[in-house]
Amino acid sequence: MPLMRYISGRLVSGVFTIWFIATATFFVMHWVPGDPLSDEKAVSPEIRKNLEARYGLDKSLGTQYWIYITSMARGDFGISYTQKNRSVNDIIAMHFPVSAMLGALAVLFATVGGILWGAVAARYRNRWPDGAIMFAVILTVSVPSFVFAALSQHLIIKLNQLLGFSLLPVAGWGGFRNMLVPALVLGLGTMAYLTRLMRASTLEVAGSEYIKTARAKGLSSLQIFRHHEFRNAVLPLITVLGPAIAAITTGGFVVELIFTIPGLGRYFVAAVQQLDYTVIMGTTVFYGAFLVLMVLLVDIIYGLVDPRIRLQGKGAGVRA
Amino acid sequence: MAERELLVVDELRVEIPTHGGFVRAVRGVSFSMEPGKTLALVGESGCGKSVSVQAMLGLINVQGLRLAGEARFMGQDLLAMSEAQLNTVRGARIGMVFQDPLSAFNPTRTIGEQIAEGLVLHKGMAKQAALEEARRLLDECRLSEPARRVVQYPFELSGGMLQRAMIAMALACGPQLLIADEPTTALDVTTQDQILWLMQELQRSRGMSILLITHDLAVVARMADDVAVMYAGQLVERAGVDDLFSHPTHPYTRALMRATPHGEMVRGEPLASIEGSPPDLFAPPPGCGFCPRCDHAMRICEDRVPLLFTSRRGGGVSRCWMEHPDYSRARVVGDA
Amino acid sequence: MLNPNGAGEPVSAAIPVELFEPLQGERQRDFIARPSIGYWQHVWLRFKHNRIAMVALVVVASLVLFAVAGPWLWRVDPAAQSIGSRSLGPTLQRKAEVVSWRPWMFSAAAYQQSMADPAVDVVVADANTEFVRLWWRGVEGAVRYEVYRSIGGDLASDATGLPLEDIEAESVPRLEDRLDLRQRDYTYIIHAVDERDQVLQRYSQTVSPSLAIAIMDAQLEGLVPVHMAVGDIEGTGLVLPAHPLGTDHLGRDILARLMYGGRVSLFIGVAAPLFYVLFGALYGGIAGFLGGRTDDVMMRMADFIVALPFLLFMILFRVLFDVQPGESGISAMLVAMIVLGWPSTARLVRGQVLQLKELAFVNAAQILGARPLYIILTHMLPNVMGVLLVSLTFAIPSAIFTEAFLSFIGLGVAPPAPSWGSMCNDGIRTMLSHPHELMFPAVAISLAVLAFNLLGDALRDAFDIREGVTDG
Repeated sequence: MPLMRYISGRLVSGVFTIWFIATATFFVMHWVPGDPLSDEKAVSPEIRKNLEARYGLDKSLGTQYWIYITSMARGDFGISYTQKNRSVNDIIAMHFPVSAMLGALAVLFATVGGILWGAVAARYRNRWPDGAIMFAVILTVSVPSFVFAALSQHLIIKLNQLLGFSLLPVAGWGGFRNMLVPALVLGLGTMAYLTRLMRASTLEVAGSEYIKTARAKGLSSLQIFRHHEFRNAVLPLITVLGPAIAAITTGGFVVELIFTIPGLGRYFVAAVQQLDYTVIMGTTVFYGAFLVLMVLLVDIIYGLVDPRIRLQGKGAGVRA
Repeated sequence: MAERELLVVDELRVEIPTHGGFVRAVRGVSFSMEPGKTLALVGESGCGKSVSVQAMLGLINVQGLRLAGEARFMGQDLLAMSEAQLNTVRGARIGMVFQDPLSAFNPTRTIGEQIAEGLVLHKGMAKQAALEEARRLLDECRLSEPARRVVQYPFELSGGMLQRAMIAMALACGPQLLIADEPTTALDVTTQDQILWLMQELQRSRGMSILLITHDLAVVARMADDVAVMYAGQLVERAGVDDLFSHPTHPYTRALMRATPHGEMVRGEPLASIEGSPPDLFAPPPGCGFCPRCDHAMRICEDRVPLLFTSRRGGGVSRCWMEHPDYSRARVVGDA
Repeated sequence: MLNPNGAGEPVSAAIPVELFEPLQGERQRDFIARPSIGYWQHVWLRFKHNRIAMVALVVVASLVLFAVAGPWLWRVDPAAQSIGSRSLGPTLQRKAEVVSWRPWMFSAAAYQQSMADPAVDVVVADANTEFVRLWWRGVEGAVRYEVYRSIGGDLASDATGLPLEDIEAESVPRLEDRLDLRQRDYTYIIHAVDERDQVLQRYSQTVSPSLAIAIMDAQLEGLVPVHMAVGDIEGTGLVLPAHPLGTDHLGRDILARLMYGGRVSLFIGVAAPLFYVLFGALYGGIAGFLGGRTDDVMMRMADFIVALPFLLFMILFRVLFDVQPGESGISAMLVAMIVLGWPSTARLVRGQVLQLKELAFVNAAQILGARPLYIILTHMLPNVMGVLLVSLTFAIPSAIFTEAFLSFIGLGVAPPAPSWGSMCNDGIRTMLSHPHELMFPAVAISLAVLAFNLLGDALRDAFDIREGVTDG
């Protein structure tokens, strides 16, 4: 089965990549000057010993690495340095769903919007809708996401003042209304990127020989768009969805910060500021694994959709 | 006006906009085709043979394209038709076969779907019936295991098989005219032969006309009834196939023939090449386009474009000053 | 079948014999209508004709000039704070009076005298941006006075909000206001209230404070010499510095900060890509040139780096470099960008080199015995230059973005060193009341990113010499 071979190949390389991320994280953190406990104020030698034992810092580097890797493999990320009674797993379990929900909605906005705008721009190539869309795209790509976040907050406040009641919350977390604007802001950059890609891809397909064949068959431009152009133009977009999801999840830091959303990104930033080593390591490896998984998933979906991979087990460079 | 001819192309001009200005790709081409016959359009790449045919069918999708002249197909001018009117002709009454079969098929849809598409559109067939008809057409085009091919994707077939499938697709709605644009160029020699056989066989059984675009004189000799030779966007010679090969008149045609390997060649005999390169069609030369490369160039050739003169030998016409009635008079004077 | 229309020429015009003379001698076989131009010339021509590209180029040059040469022209310390001019909008030079605050010494006689005119209820004794002093006609039966301050004119009594001050009734009812005064109109509304909280009398008075600066502040900001006696300075006029783009929440000049911040942002934005594009090109070039197993292993490594979550590792480097919270991690940021950024260029260049290796002219050179170095320098490099230049141009805006992003979340350049990102971070706090503090640095970032993006687009177009002309 070519498809199974394709999927298992991707799986193996995915596991390898996660291992690499975990190892890289371990050594980067291990080279940190000083030791994680030096910040503890007035630690008596006994307490220090206890703490070292608790975090396994008294063992050799090899043993530490072994313990680290095996517990990571079991899905155990250890205990937070700053909040002594919370495990990193708890923190991730509590905050990640928030980030994931926000990210999922943002990805939805970005893909639907990107495909739509890109297709419209390509269909009206070199006419005003194309010009307007591409201008918006270049503008969106050039303005930092935090500016959009701030602006949208400003707009919400003005809107609520104008209406006299609170249509949309300015910040915070709760229902769907809380997610709407942050997700839109979060997905904006990716939407612009996908719009650009979709336009280019549609134009490339439109210039291909098989579209000429379809025209020679007497199909109208709308029929050609529906049966040939759209589908083929969307296919390559799937391949960049993995990296796009990555960009959106990590881009979530800013949006979570500005809209005060209790997601993992905000927690990560706080952890770095407080030098909470286990949380930093755990979150990095967790995010890394999550992204690898997403890319894997996207690859598999692409394999199912593209007959060339489904039937032959090989395809053009799937990762962007 | 009822015409005996299936297709009459009259003074077709095509200018393609590019960054540097308009490329005068086709500069006044005229020819006509009778039903059931094969006309070959010959010339080197870039001479405008594909462009003229594709422009005629509205297949050049370039903004700002300039088209002039007439192309009457069954009495109706294709150039004057709206896109919707053209769509009732393309695929239904004119079928088209392209050079590279692999890129001419949509890679993500099955062969059957792509053949059935035209049938559903022009004949109002149901999807299932159209797929069955597609299988029958593939069979007619001598493609092995037609039932399996229907559900296969283009990348699963070889070039020769795909070209058969493409012919099946072009013939699906029973067109009066089949336009084959370099149909065998991308194929290996044995496959080329099979495809040419197939086309001849289908022409006999269906009685359609074929407009064959090629640069290969061997293919011309084998397939064509009439030949039109193009150079630098113009027709330089038109003749019946026998006339052309026995009495090639235009220096370009003759140079082309010398540059083609043929049966009577002696081992080690070099092939003649045509020195120089075709003129730049951004700014075509004022005189004969072939003049700079021509061994017989005269002073008049440099600044006046020759018309199509009736050839002195054979039954065709030739765009060369040497065929001008005054030429022989001048020769006599000059020799004296 | 053949259309005879074109054949034959009007016989009447006989052609002169001499025109049929054959052309003699060596002839130019190619008819050349346009001069042939080289690759780089071609690229430059295309680029030059792209109007957007030229505009983008000018914008980039101006931004660089602004950051590099700007501080020589605009000699204002970007770190100098000014308590008196916090969160100012764009202002020109202003004249201010140097004042010094002392307890309000007034005489009852002067009060009585000013109240002699029955038409006058409120008298403004002093009005400058350091202090406003008013007194008013006492009201019979009032136990206290509520004083409201409004910037929206004389408001109805139910719209005034909380009182600025609640004053016990005295023989000289008066108010001294020193609360964050600016150069604008204030309307003071005074309610005389009896013991049952009934409003007996309502006065309103509009005051336009003149610009003033306290002696201490003037000395701190170096506007007046410290050793001068207070008496000599007090009451003199002084020119306060202009702030063309206003000041931030600490009274620092935004124009100066934008210039210095531009140095940091553009330095990171250009330096990091320069290093990693060069390294990536070298890496990818070697992998592609050597090919085989070496290529496999090298590109596998690159894949791993790509798989690392970029921003998270950017931040990890901060930890690795032992950057404490609140410290600037410019070098950490640079190193992290270089370590994590190179694979995309490496892939691109490798692809190019692999393609070039297959091309006939490279093969020919190899067969002719050219040394690898020679092939790389003469055949590979010129052909890869375009890709390199384009990817460098696109890497710059993304590096500027990354810096801004990290500084914004407080993990990049930290105060007091300005960068456009950290200025945005400062500005977002006062976004609602003073939007210019966020707007100017945000516009600077956007302008730079936009210009580099457009430049990249134009370069890509200029280097891509394929043109879609259908084959005849």
